[in-house]
Amino acid sequence: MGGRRVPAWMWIASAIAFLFLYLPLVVVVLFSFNDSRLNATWVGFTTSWYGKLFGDERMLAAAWNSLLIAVVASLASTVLGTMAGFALSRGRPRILGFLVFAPIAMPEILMGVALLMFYVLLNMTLGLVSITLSHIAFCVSYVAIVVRARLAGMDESLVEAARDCGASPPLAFRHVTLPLILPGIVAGALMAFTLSIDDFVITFFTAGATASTLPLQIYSMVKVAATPEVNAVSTLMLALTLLLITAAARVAPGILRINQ
Amino acid sequence: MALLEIKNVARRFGQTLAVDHVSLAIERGEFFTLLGPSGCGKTTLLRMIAGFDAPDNAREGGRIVLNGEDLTDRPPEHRPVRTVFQSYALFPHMTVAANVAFPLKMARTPSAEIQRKVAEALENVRLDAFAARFPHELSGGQRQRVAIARALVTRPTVMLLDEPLAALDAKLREQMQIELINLQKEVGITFIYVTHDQTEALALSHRIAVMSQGRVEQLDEPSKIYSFPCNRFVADFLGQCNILDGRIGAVDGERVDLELDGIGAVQAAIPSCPAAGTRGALALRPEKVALDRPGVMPRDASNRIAGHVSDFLYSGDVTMYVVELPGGRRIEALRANSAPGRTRFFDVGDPVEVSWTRDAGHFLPE
Amino acid sequence: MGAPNRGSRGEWLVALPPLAYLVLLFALPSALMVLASFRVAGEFGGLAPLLGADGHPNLTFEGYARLFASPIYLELFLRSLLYAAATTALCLVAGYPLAMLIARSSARWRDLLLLLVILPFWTNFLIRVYAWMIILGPSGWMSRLVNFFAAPLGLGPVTLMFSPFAVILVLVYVHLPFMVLPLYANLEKHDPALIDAAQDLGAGAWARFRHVTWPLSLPGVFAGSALVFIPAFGIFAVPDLVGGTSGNMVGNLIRQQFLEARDWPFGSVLSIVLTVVALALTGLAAVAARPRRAGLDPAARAVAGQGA
Repeated sequence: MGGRRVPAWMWIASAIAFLFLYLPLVVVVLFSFNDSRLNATWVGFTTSWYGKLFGDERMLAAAWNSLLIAVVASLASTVLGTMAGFALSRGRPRILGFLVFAPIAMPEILMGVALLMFYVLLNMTLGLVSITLSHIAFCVSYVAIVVRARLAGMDESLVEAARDCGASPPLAFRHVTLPLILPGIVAGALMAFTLSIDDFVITFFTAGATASTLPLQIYSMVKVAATPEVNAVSTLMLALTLLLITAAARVAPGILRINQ
Repeated sequence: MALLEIKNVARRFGQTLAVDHVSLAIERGEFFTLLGPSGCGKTTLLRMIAGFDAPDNAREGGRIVLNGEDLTDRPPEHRPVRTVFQSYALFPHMTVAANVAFPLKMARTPSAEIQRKVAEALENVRLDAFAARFPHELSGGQRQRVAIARALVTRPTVMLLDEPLAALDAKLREQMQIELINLQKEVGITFIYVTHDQTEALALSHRIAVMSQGRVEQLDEPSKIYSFPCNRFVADFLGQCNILDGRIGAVDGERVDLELDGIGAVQAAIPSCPAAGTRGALALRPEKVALDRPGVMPRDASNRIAGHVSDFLYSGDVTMYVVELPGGRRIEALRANSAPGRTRFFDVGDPVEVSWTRDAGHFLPE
Repeated sequence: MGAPNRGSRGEWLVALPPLAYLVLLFALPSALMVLASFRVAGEFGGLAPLLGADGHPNLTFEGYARLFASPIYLELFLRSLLYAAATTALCLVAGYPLAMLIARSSARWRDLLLLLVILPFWTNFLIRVYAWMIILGPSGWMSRLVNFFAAPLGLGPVTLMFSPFAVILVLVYVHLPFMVLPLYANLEKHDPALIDAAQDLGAGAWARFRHVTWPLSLPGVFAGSALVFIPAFGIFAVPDLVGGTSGNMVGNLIRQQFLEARDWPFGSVLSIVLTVVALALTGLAAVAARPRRAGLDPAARAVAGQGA
């Protein structure tokens, strides 16, 4: 449907929508450089908040945790998710489809509280491990969906041709399927990383008393006393997300459209 | 013993019987074509030979035997059969050379030998200059030739071609048809070709199996099928054909009087003619129907009937005239536009006479 | 693909690890939650032992009874439903033109526009809420702007924060990309020839939208609405940060039950009911949104009927 005339009102409505989407973020970024405690009026330019950020022990610990969890969770969920995506594209087993789509379809809070109870009933101490396990659980679904979409878009006759040329199914996968879906897998990994770093709700319930991640840190700061330090860390996180997602979009154009 | 024996193979998809207990014997070195409209089961049959599908009745005797070896339970990668896919199925992430080398690599051929064989295969299809290119950089015809080279490089016993020329334009298709014939003669490999294009089948094949609704209607050489179709479907599917219903009248040895519905009595020569009164149809090819101005044809020309032109289709080299006969029936007559002297063209409404010789048609009993 | 049953063993092997993981960390905890909703709260919070002192399972319907008996909880659910529904409707209104714009753009712009829509979605959820807290706060420019107009009219100082308005606004903000993307995915597939044909037959812009574009986009509308409604229904962080006391939603109550009151059974009851209601509504909407037999709206069907 591309390339058609777009009426003026559509342009205006869309511009407003885009403005709506981005203005608040711009405000956050702007005020991170504001030389004032209050997020009210512009006083002067300063990077002192960033300085405070890097001196904040708890913030640094939280950042480190977030990174660690994200790396582990994205690696594990990429492996599991790719396997799941492959199985989904075959259609068997049926139950896998339900298990993959259900966590995404339901409000996050459900998974959060269910996992909380689960861990406690198992007498597990809540901390980085419980968070990581939880992250893997929902990231698997996203990666699986991306990989499945990639597989669906792949020409089935290529695999047949490979087998016709004498390749057994595992060899056909290795030489033909895998190279062709690799961009999708990489993009899925980047998405999983982003999801993990940004996750709030599930982390909130499964973190326990001591562990902290960046989102949890931000939450407590916002609830208690918001200083532009929050703006600073937000800006940095925004930058990171931008990088990751643009990279994912470059690697596998079109995967970001996959939304069930 | 035939090279490839297909024994009583059946395949069902849901309610439809895609392949209805088909048995075929394909000889070594022949160019064998499965011809039929879409849905007739030819592609399903081909896939079963390749191994991508299996007969439903494998345990009840539906088998596929190549060179005496029963292939029915073997996966595709273990069959000495290579397929040229309709979409070519070239691996987009590999160069032309890598594509052609792939089967050799899967067969664990030493790399020096791979290089040699790949070069040879590419020379065979005249693409040696394109070895380092990727499939998306090639034209349709070139991709097709890479697909053929890849299929031939391991010298398979049988090569399967699934409508390989369907995506090419008419001129290129003609060229490729000639190339395919020559290639097959050169390498001597048995080709099993699937197409819905009857002119292609007639041009390429040593033998054709005409299929409809999962069954083989007729299996024979192209010229025999064309001149002596065994039923209405085959007569109509191959080339143009007048199918004139009628009844056998007086029989005198081979000389028969046919009462054609809406036309009247005509004379035919029918070997081993069925009894008088049998209903059937006369299959009459338009090119066998002569057409001219009234009074031009000799008086004693057989089956001379007057009518008028109701339609015509000019095609450059020939013109197809639709002649309406008294009684309402229509007959198609094909006339070359390059007869010696000035060619006479007819227009709608012109009175004309058509005629055909006694043995021009072929009788199809009901 | 291949002969039937060939390779299925390999397929099972590949499916097993993710299957096992999801069963362990999703299906099992969910099942436990269903069970927990029937259990009794422990003395110090959490769950009481499954088997009571007399050896019988300690199960009860008390949680469900409490939920349905009290109007407070009913009101909470209703309010959450309302907020979620309002959010969905607003997202639809705001997102549809945007989706149409992207669908009509040339390929060059399309990927860029999509990226621009998606980026906020991938940014940290809390940052996006925080951003609005700045804008809606008493010293934020929006408040000041509104009060600038309100003051001369004699209306008292208007606080935008900690109100249903703030909750819905932020919910719309957070969920807008969820609506745009499925809508766009659907609109992209529309055959432009259909709209041209409608125009050729005399339909003006609004008529073309109403009779051609809108009906064909219904699956996308439904998908987007589901992706907005269900998360919005169960959300807690947004009302927690900008809702104050009047903007409470079911999610807040669930959080409170689990982390403060530590009444796990009741928290589970709330969660189960939340899920069931959300799924039921989505299911109903799916049935309602299913294309009618002719696949067209009544006007078009009438025309088709005349020609048939």
